[in-house]
Order: sequence, then C-alpha cells, then structure tokens
Amino acid sequence: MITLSGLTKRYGTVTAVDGLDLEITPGRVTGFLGPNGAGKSTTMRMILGLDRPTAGRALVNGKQYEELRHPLREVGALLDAKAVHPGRTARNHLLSMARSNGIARRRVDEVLEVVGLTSVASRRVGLFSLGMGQRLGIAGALLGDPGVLIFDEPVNGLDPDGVRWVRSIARSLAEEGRTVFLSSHLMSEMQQTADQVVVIGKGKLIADTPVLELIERSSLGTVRVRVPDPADRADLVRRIGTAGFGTELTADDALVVRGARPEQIGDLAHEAGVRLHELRLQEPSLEEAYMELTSDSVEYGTARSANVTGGWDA
Amino acid sequence: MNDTKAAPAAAARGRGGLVGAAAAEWTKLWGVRSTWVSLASTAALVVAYTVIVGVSARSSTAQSSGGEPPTDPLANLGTGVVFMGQFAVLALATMVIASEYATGSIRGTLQCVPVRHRMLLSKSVVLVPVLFVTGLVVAPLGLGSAVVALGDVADPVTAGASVRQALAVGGYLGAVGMISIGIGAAVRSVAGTITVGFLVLLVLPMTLQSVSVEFVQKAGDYLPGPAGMALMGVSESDTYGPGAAAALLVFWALAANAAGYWVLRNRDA
Ligand SMILES: Nc1ncnc2c1ncn2[C@@H]1O[C@H](COP(=O)(O)OP(=O)(O)OP(=O)(O)O)[C@@H](O)[C@H]1O
Ligand SMILES: [Mg+2]
Repeated sequence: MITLSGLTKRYGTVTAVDGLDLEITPGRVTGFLGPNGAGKSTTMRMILGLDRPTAGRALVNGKQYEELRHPLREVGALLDAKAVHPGRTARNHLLSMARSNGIARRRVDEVLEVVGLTSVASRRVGLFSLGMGQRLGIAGALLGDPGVLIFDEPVNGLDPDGVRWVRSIARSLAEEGRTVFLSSHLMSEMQQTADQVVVIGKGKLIADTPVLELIERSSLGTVRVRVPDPADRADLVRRIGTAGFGTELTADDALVVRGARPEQIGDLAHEAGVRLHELRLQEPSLEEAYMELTSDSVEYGTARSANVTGGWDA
Repeated sequence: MNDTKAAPAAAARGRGGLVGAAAAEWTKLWGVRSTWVSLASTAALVVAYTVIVGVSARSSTAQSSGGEPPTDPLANLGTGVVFMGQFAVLALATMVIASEYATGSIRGTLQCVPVRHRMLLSKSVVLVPVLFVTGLVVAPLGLGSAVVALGDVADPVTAGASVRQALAVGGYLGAVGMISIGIGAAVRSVAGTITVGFLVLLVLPMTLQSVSVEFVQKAGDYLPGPAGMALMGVSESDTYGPGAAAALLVFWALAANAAGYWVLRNRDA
C-alpha cells in the first residue's frame, strides 16, 4: 500500500508534482501514466525517499521510506537500471544489496534465475545490453520479496518477449496480493497489464480509475461502417450528421462514426435503403482514452492533428 | 515467487542497520578491480618516492653539496605518504562515494540504506580499517625501499620507531580516506572531490606556508596534510606533537563527514 497525501515537489519555479492525493492499493497492478515531464519519476523518487517533498507526504505501508527497518524487504524498485557501477558483476551488485538488508545469499541466485541472468551473473554489468540491465534492475526489485513494487518504465529497451515477461511478472505479483505500481508509455501494454490507472499531467492528478472504466467512459468509442456505393456513402454521411454524430472517412470505403451505437447507424442505413458491407463497434482503446484525457496537459508535445486521413467532401 | 507472507523466509539473517550497510559496502569495495589498483598504487607511489629521494640523497651526500640531505628512512617514508601515496587513497575514497553520484548508483545505495547518516558512516566503517591495514603494509615496504635506496648514508632505524611510524601511516591513510568520503558526500562529483581533496591535503597548506603573515602560516599548520606530517614526525614546524596531530585528524574526519551529512540531508539524491 502506497499513500500519497498532498504530495508536492517544486524544483525552483518548476512544479513537478502538484498536490497528489492517492492510494495505491495491494492486489492489483496500478499503471502510472502521463506525458513526458508529467512528474511520474519524481513521484516515485519521493516515495523511495530519494527526493524530499516540498510539501505533503508519501508513505509506504504507513511509514516514510526512511523509517522502514529493512526497506528492500518491503519495497522493491526499478528506477534507472543503468545506475550500477559498470565494473561490478551482476552477482556482486545483488549480493551487496542483499547484505544491506539481511537477505539470504541464496535469494541472489534465485532472482538471477527468475530474470534469466544466471549464465551472465559473473559478467561485468558494463558489458550488459539495455535489456539485460533492465532485467538486472528487476532482479534487484524482487530481491527482498517485497509486498510493494515500483517500476519506472520497466519495459524500456526490452524485446517483445521481455515485454510479455514483465507483464506476466507484474500480473502474478499483483495476484499474490502485492502492490504493483508501474509507469509506462506503452498504452497497449498498459491496457493488458494494469487493473487500475493513475493519470497525471503537469504534476496534477487527472484520473484514478479502473482501466476498463476509463476506456468505457471515453467518448471515443466508434462504429465502423463500410458502404460500397459512393453515392450511398454520401447520403449516409449526411443522415448521420443530421442525427448529430461526427464521421470520419478512412482510406478505403468505410466511415468511422464517433459516439454512436451500431444499432443507431444500422437503423439510419435501413431508412435510407443503403447497402452495407460492414457494421461494427470498435472498442475504444486505452490509448485513445488517454489521449483524450491528457490533451490539455502535454508539456513537451508536438502539435497533434486530429484527422490524418485527409479532406473529403460529401 | 513466494507469497507475500513468505518474505521473512528470504531474510534468514535478520541483519540490516549499520552492520548490514557495512557488509554491503565491503561487498561493493571488493567487487571492483579499481580498489586493488588504488591500494597497489598507494604502495607503489610511496616506494617510488622513497627510492627517488633516497638515491638523490645518497648522491648529494657523496658530492657534499646542499644543506641537509634527507637520510632518515622513516622521514622519507612519511613524506612519501604525504606527497604521493595519499592521493591514491583520495582516488579510492572518491570511487567509494563520489563515483556513485556519477553512475547514479547512489540512488540504489540509498534505497538499500535510506538512513543518511548510516549510509555515510558505513562507507568509513569499511574504508578506514582497510586503509589502516594498507598503511601497515605500505610502511615496511616504503621503509625497506628507503633503506635500500639510501644505502650506507641511511640513518639508523629502531624497531620501536618503525612500528610507531607504521601505525602513524595507517592512521593517516585512514583519516585521509574518511576526510575524502566526507568531501565526496558534500561535493558529489569525482572531479570536485579530487580537486577539493588535493587542495585541502597538499596545495592549501603549502600555499599558506608561503604567505609571510605568521597568523596565516600557523593556520595552515592545522590543516589535515600538516597534521599528517606531524603525526608521522616529518613536520617542518613544531607547533604540536603526534597526539595533537591525531586529535586534529579525527576532528577533520568528523568535520568533513558532518558537511557531507548536511548535504545528504538537505539535497535530493
Ligand atoms: N532534479 C531536478 N531538477 C530540476 N527539475 C527536475 C528535476 N527532476 C525532474 N525535474 C522536472 O520535473 C518535471 C517532472 O519530471 P519527471 O522526470 O518526474 O517526469 P516523468 O513523468 O517521469 O517524465 P517521463 O515520462 O519523460 O519520464 C520535469 O519538468 C522535469 O524537468
Ligand atoms: Mg520518468
């Protein structure tokens, strides 16, 4: 359990985290989303007692990180996987961590096995690839068998196999009743991994909801309609417009209708006597829901064009 | 992966705290090759210094030119430590803390040992004894090379004085290590730590010596470098004895670590 109350961090004039109130509960994966510079890493650093909050508090299991007697046995974290002395071996790195918290030596070999680094345990970390470094970071997080896990962009640099592996680890950790708090920019990945999502923008909380709810609530659910005859298509677009829905033309002969139900479009087509080749509800994705939520708080964004399919006139 | 409740099983030994922190530092210290390189360099630098000084002292005595050639092997050992050997120790201490800031691994260290004073103390708890033992090894090596280099112009050396000098060398290297750790925690950069260390240990005392204001000269005598020279009996001024020198070094070690602790407390990692 992670509890943030009024958590605020200012760097000079920049407010990186702005009054976050949040509870990250055990037994599920909580995804942490937000544009670049939204304050995700800063929040995680404050939870781990690395950065001192300007105001408010971050508690883990009801305590400040510094008050934890054996912190690695309560909180496992992966922040920056490359932050290891390059001349150290993987085993030496994990062994020093284990010793600091009175964790049995055999646990080092166990986690090396779990992350698949056993064969390179005696190699210097400086020679590791990006993905191997990431795996070592995850090994470090798992070392103390902690009830709370914090991962900052854990799939960064992992191959597709590694991405799936992180997903299954995160899922099984949560199923064991642990608190899993994980940031990522990969929306499709997050949609499959997280139960709950916390979205922040410019340091402020934008949403804290179950993933499914967030997606459902999104207005971006669409209906895809394929109309083979161009004249029919124009007619249908006009009728849909009159009914108050927005349409968008895709590259082929299809229309995408925003905010409508398939039955409404089917009825309109029936009234107009328009022949359809396809009528399908497209579930909104987390990515779309996220884009909608954060469109106002992208700090370092590029201009976002709403429609890249080009102009089409009826 | 075990159940959450199985966590204590993984923690067979209930160690943590300062003991655990020191065990981790010990593991880290010997986990990199550069530790051995630094310690070997300390010995090599001291030996090299005593050889150069010894050989030149022998030739200058032969030609009987100049004032007092340095023919005391114990003194050559002491000056070798101050002028050369201690900088390898400074480099080692820099790797122990300042380079953790360079690699970002300080964050990992603080995740393991979040209590700042414990983290800082654990570094010295490990490094100081290692350096003391290093001093005990370096001293006979440097003394031997000094005697050999001086040949028949060498002053006689007693066993008691040799043992005392070995303890002084060990003590001084330990102090240099602890002072450098404090500087590293305060300055947080490799280049910065080496620069400040070099200034405090050698450059500043020498500069102050050359100032013709007596008060300033006296003040310079109390810096760590001159204190080390007093401890090893190679001081140019007789302001204080070895006992006061030892106390002064302890003071500097604590002061540097207090400064380092203050920065650790007040700045983000
Ligand atoms: N040590 C620091 N000093 C000054 N500003 C900082 C510091 N750390 C972070 N910031 C600023 O705080 C803001 C939040 O940064 P943070 O790294 O927490 O964002 P993030 O959500 O993790 O972004 P990303 O998705 O790119 O990783 C940014 O504007 C950043 O420039
Ligand atoms: Mg980040």
